[in-house]
Amino acid sequence: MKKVLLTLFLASIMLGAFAQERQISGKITDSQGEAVPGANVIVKGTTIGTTTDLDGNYKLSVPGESETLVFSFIGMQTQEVAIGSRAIIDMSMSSDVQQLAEVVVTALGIERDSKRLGYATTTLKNEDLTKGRSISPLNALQGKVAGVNITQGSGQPGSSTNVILRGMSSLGSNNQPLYVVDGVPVNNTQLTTNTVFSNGDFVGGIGSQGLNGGLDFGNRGNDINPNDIESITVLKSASATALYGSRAANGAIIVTTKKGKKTATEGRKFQVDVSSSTVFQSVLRLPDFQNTYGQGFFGTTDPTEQTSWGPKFDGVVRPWGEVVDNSQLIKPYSALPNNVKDFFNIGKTFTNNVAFSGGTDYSTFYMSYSNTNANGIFPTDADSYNRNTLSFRANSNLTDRFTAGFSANYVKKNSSFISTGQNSATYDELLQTPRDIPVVEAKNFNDPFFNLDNYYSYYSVNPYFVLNNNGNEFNEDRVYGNMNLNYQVSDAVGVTWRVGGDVSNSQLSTWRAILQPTPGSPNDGISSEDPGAVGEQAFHNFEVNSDLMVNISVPLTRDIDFGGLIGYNVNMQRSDANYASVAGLDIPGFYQISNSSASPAVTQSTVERNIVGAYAQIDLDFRDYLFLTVGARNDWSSTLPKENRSFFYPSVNTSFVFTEALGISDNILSYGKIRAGWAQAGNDAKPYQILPVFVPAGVSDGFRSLNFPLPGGTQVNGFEVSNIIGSPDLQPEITTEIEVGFELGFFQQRLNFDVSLYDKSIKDLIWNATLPRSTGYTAQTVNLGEITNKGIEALMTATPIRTGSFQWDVSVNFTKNDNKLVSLTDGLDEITLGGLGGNGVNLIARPGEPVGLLNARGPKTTDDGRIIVGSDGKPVYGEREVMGQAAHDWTAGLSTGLTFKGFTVSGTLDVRKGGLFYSRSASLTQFSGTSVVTQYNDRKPFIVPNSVQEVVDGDNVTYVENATPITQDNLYSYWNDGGMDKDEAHVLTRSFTKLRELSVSYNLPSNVVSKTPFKQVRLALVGRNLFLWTPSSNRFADPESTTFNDGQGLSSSFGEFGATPSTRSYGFDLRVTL
Amino acid sequence: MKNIKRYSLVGLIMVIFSTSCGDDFFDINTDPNLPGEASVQLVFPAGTAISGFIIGGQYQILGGIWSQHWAQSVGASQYANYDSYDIQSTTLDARGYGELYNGALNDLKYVRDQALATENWNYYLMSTVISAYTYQVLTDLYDNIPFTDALQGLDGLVQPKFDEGTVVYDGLITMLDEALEKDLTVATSIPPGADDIIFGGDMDMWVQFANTLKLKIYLRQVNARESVASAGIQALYQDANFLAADAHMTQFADELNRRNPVYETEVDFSGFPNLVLSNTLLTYLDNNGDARLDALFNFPNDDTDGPHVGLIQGNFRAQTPTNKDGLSQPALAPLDPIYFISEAESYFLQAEAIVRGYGTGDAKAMYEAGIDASFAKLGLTPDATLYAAGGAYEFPATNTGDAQIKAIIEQKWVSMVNSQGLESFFEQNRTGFPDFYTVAVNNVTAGNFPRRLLYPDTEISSNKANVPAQVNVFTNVWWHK
Repeated sequence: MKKVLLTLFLASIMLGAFAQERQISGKITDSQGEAVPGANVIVKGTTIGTTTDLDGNYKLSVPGESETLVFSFIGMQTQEVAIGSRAIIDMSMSSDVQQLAEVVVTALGIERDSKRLGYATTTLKNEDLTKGRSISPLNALQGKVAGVNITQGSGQPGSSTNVILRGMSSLGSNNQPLYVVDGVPVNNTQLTTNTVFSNGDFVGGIGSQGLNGGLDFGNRGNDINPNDIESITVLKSASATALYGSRAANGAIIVTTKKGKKTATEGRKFQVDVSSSTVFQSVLRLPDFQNTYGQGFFGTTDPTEQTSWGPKFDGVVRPWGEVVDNSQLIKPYSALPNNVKDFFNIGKTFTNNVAFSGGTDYSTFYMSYSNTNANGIFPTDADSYNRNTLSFRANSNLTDRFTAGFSANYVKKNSSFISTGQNSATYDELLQTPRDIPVVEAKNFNDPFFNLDNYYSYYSVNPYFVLNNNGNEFNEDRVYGNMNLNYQVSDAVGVTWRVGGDVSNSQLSTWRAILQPTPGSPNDGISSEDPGAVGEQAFHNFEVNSDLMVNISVPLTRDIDFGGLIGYNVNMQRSDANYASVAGLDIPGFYQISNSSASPAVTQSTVERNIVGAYAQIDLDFRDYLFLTVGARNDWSSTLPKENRSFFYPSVNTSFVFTEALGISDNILSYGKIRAGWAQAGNDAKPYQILPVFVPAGVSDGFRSLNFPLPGGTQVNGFEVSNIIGSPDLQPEITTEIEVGFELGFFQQRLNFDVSLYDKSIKDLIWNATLPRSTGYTAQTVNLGEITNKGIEALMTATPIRTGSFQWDVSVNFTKNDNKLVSLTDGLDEITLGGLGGNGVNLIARPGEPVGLLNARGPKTTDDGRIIVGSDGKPVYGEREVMGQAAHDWTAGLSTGLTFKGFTVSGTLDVRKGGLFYSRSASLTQFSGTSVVTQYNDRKPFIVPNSVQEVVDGDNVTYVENATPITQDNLYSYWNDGGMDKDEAHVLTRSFTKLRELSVSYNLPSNVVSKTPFKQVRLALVGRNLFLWTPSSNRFADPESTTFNDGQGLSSSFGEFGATPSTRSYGFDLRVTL
Repeated sequence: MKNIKRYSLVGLIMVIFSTSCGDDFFDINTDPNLPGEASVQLVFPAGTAISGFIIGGQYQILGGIWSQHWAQSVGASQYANYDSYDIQSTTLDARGYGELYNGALNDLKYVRDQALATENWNYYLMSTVISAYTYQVLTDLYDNIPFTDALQGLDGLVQPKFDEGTVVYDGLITMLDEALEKDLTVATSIPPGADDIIFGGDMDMWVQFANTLKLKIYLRQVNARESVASAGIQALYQDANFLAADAHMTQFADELNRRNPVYETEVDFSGFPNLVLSNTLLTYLDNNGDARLDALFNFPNDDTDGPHVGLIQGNFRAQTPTNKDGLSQPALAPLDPIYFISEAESYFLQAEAIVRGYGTGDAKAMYEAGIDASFAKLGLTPDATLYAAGGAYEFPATNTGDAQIKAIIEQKWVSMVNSQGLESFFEQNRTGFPDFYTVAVNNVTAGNFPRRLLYPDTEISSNKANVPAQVNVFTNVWWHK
């Protein structure tokens, strides 16, 4: 590397020293004749150049042999001018109206002029994706695309990104889109505990249940190095994705990677791009804590309590914690407002990237290496993410007719994740920590006052012990790539074969330390005592995808062009997993399956799925302003019964560029297009839902189990009849979507509108319908019901100011989606999709209402709305009621950019309104008395406002005014139940506004850069998620936080169960091009 | 010509691809992880162990508390709802009712069906006995339950109707009789081995188990259908071939998820905070100088010499002692067996049948054999002085005022401490003995004792049309006195 730099540097000096030079000057104006300051003027094929001054003038010394000048400026068409013998070259630049008429990558990697498309697409370029220096290319889309709901589950680095396009569309299958890189689908498995441990059914493992230590090692869609991405196109509708077949029924994210630059034409062998960024993370949102009451219970001090139900702070210095060797710690009895916040560190993410690219007119190559190293906000590196990517691609025109492309990517990930949920989870402990306890002082968990034996509370474990001794580590090696062969048989006919593969080998290690206070010590017998455990899982994923396509393109008449495509697709997926775990360790700190006298639990799993598709598409183009596309695909899927294996779905869409048809080309309306599309898409079932099976025997009471084989002289193994009845009649889910929209461009495309209306219906939903237990089964896999999503997406982009060196761009997008579960099978009026289960808060669906309703028990009330309390004065639970939908009512994004000379300031605001989520942070801080809401009435006895007591006399129910106050005896249980609102108090509004991105970048002027060995130098300050605003009723958690992540998108909309806090990030970024 | 070459190449590639995707390519939807078939030898122990796990686990805790063997401890509250009779439609729903239907009975039905089809009468009898045993528990807890329509989900019967308790009871007798009539010696009747987790393959014992179960079913109806009970029992006494040993499952090991379920969850998992000696039992055993007390309960505060301290039933909110350490706790062990029918219970059933005049034999001897078996069950030497003349448990000379029945059921009650709480609860419901229960202090039933469970939520929400209207937890079931 050093050598290369030196060579280039010397070369540039030599060019400067020996060339004969001459002066060229001139003025650059725009189409209105106004000066364009800050425009670039470069001698083609060199690094020699300058920028225009405020009056649009430039002066440049060029080598004698120079032939061409290149004029460029953002938003204007780049122009080349032969120098000839001129000394003065003035230039009139015209605005780049082609920006709208850009080329879009559509299904199967087919590039099409956007004006031909009968459906909405959104494309974001590399610049938009890397501005905020998110390590996830998907998070970088947040707030920038209409119709797309993107959430990141937690602030732990590398956690999953959920992407939902145009609303939930499946109850039991995946709701996430298909990820396609360079035309080939890639794996987007979410490596959460529910999917890590088995593909499909949850097998279980140590600390892996959703409520007890959920893990999230991210989704594989985030493996792509953002720097390698040229663009991401979001295909939202069935019209857009129909050719991809069943797997794209929920839309598709089309990633196009960078190709090699044809540097030879610029006189260089290759180009080197180097970028380096350092980004820091800090906690974005903690619950609002009270700072009035300290450790204790029933209003009195209790040094062993893990709650803040003690007396008011008085500042008096008193002993705290356990007495150890006749000594005790002391501290003032006063609040530590930041005792939780101080626990967290500043997280750090370093991203370094180097890319080489080059080529000739015939062949190009691109190579890159990137390393992302993140250590999250928790002390220790128990929350860390390390990703290395190595990419190589080459494209070559082997002959005039034969082109070949090749791409290979290697990803190595190594990450650690801190267990979430309620099982000795660190954040869970922190939220309960009494307001006066200096938890950071317990950092040395071997200190006699802070060790397992003596840590202050009988009800908690030193979080530093947990962070340092327990762990969840994930390692993955993944290779994916593709090969592309294209043979142009004749001018009219071309054949393409594209085959891609995606293989990953992964290993998950989880371990829990032996947690056993010394017998007789103060903490002996705590409920978190743990004999220690270790679990190891190895899994392997394999996917291969092949498309063979024949393209035909012929003019039919003088006005009509015909394009045709027929293709054949084969997709094979296989995953294997082996898992072993054992609880009860013999040697402390040694985490091997062998380290236990207990029998290890061992499971294995293999899942296979094959899909074949045949497809055809016809494109008709009338005079380049009226377009019609008709397509059809038939799939055959291995997951469906033989008779239903084959399913067919057609699509049609049209686009009419009326400005061209009517010859409108005035300066007001410069571009106008209307479009419409109708399409169907099928979605197959998960594997193995057809045939009856037996499952290994075992039974649980919800706490512990009886496992087979049964011990004894002869071990007895057992199998049970599976509780789920397979369906031999299963049909695919069929999506039907109609979409209309228009695109308008005004004032030479300085003001643009893109509006879509869609109506999507998904029929024959595949779902495990609950059966009465008395049938001998719990559920049957059936087709039932219908979901609809109707919505509007609008995008406005504008360039209100563009004068010479100053440009202001604004983009606003708005999305409103109405989701509805139209019907279920007869007799079924409710299904549970997720949540806490039993009487707790749950996520349910009911016909006639949106999919994903939060259902909770509020207080029992009289007909006129008065709260009914029991004999203890506490509100009585009422019936469970639907509180509303989980999904947002509407979302909007606002992006703006200011460019002045080399400076660019840009920002994105993400606004999401409405919807509900469950928050354990709310529940826990109320239970433990740390929440600010528990200060109600100064914690003095009070009578629940507007409350009555019920008097039952036979069938006669009357109410009397309640006179029983809530007192210190049941204040804690009053708040534990959620206060006056009972469980409904833990369901919060999902509304929020986030400052998603803010960056300030500076491109060194080319006249400065030209004196260096570099071609381009860019410095930036970057920030993401800098501010979060929520309605005042949410004082507890970031509404984006998610714990219930099954990788399919639906259950994760329930909310958070101790999800670690989200983070804000800020840092700097340097990019250099050689 | 050149074009033909080109097109044929394209064609060839397409042919290669299309032929590679025949039916074999799609016939991969047979789950490689789970078998499509399983022998009765593998499914029978699963169904039986699940039935035992529920009845000897969570139901044992409920029954132990409702039989006033145990009380919910102070300073904890896991089972406070049981001990205040605060039963909801969610109580022991999926993990009790549900698991018995879709766990135990569903597997046992598979074994019965397979055994019937192959004339494998040994397994037919075994699975029928455990099925009948499990159904009786369900109907005794819920009264009306799905029976004739039950377990037919695979045949499309997904909304089973509920049958009245009498229909279930008659059905159980029919099931058992049908299985008992089969010739167990035919060649198609495969001898069970270790997979018979109750008797290790001893079919004579299974016949005795079936007969004793029939005796139990008949006796339960003495109040409601006396004639059915007497006729049935008289017929049983043609052979009088009843259990003289425990019908129990002992396959436990002291390691995670392989222990006795009450020990596993309450002691090993929870740290044993919830279950303590009830004053009702303490007073009885104490007054009678019964040595079983020390074998059944540990002294408070890890003392070695007592005295025992019990808790007034339902007084879990008491301020003293502040936690379970000041109270006697049941002496549970990881390898404690789960009893379906104990030897002592068999003798007490026979004693009652004789007292009632349906059976023949020496009631007093049976009664004393029951007490002896109860001592032996705890590893104690039987203490004949207790039932000798003048002893605390002397068998009454006559049944005047149900005196003999009272003695039998009280002793059955004691014999079932720590192991068969649910059966003991049913027997108190049926006979009214022991008659010295105290209603739980914090009861939510206006002073009424609990008599049943509520129809469960999962069934109500998925089988709305058929679930009977919910009744109070203190509503008697049909055979109640």
